[in-house]
Amino acid sequence: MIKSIRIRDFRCFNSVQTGLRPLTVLIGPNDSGKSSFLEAIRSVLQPTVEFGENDFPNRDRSKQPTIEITTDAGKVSKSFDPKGGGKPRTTTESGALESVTPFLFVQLPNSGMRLSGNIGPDSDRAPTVESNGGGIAAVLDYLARRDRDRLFEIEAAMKRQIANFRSLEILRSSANECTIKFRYKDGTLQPDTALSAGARFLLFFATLATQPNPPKLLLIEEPETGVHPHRLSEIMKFMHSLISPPNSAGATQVILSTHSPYLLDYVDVANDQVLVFRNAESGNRTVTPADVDELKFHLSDFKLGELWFNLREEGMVKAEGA
Amino acid sequence: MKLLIVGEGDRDKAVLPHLVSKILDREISHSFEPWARLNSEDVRTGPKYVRKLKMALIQAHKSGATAVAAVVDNDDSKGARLTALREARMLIEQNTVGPPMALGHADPHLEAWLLDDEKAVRTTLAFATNRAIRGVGSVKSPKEELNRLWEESPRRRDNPSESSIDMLAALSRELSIDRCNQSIRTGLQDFADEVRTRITPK
Repeated sequence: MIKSIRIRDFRCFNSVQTGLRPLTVLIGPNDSGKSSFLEAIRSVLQPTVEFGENDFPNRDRSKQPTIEITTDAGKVSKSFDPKGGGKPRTTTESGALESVTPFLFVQLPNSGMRLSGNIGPDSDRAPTVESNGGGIAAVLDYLARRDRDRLFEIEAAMKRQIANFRSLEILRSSANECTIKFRYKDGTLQPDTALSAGARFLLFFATLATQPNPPKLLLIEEPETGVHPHRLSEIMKFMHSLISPPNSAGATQVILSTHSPYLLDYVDVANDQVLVFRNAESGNRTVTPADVDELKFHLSDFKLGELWFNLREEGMVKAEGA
Repeated sequence: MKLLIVGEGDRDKAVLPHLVSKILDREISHSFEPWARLNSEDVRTGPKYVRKLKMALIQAHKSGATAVAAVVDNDDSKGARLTALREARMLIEQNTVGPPMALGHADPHLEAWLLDDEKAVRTTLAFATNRAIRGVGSVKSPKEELNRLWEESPRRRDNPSESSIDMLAALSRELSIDRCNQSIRTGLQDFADEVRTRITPK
């Protein structure tokens, strides 16, 4: 698990340092640095990948972007080395990278995800969901044959959220291809291409959270995309089950950004972490943990999302000097 | 003193600070918040107006305000909103010590308060002094009437790019509560009394 991160001269950040929890939620207005924060983590977990033009503040290549994460197994850092011919300078303590990889970085496409697809050769090792939705067909096919309890868990989640949903039909269309269809209570079958983007996202999240080999770290931008507000509780249930898996799977650390007060309603303030991103007057971006003590005090009257919507970012953190 | 003023939106944000300042007969420092938007249907969180006022109190605390002045439009609620708000205030005051809250309702909406001062309307809209202005009690919609007057006014011709919000703010600066003959009917008098008795600095 990533316990803390330090970012200097990377994209919109001058200097940021913050701790992270098993579930961390990033909130803030547009252009306040949430995506850059997730990109910083992705960048340091891919130590050999060079910094791109946009990674330098104001594209100023005299700056030296530096990102350092501390995991429960040690530190991983990556910085720009002006003498390195563009190659980043990286330092990895033994086991540090392995403790947070494999990781998944998900940006949901507005059009939804394709569920059906290639299932690859059969193997005793369960396949995994990929960031673009690839692998869902392979995971579902594997579960249908090898681990039906998990498949029933996924179907139960879908039944809770989609009216008239009865079951998943996982059909081999060729030796290497699998087609996913929804069967409804009236017996009709819908292929994945006929499903709404939201329905496909729900299946993506359900499969992601229930698969036998989840990633060790999930970075996700705006999981509310395309999902009805009433279904966001289920999305957050998936996130909480990832960090505290009910079955034998390893725990996944989740770091997500959101613009949805409805989603924030389902954050457990006592155990999860909310990081508030703001644009300072200087143009710098700041990252501040939410003021848990005060928010907890108001939670008998309000949902967390209501506090955020009405008090805005400034109201979620301790006043300066307080 | 610093006040938190709570109202329906941009129009109230432009108008209410001037009116409260006139009622208190002093310059005020203030911040403005629209009425809280609450999405929770969870019954444990309590009645809607209690929660809206509680949110205003949190906002007042956060902004350093020492008093709250809040106004709702009556629209077609027949006074039910103001009654609910006053009951909510009573409940809150029974259980907590907080900043004073002055409550008001604009019947049917804020433009009724403004249209009621015919002299201020003439002056603001640059009409001749003998221009007839229909009294607020004789028009169906004060909002539509004020908008109609503005559209045909010399002010509009002189400042075609001015927004209606800016016009309303200018009108509120001209308004004198003493000239508002229908202030009991429109709710302005009630609000002014509340502001004076509850939040006038001792």
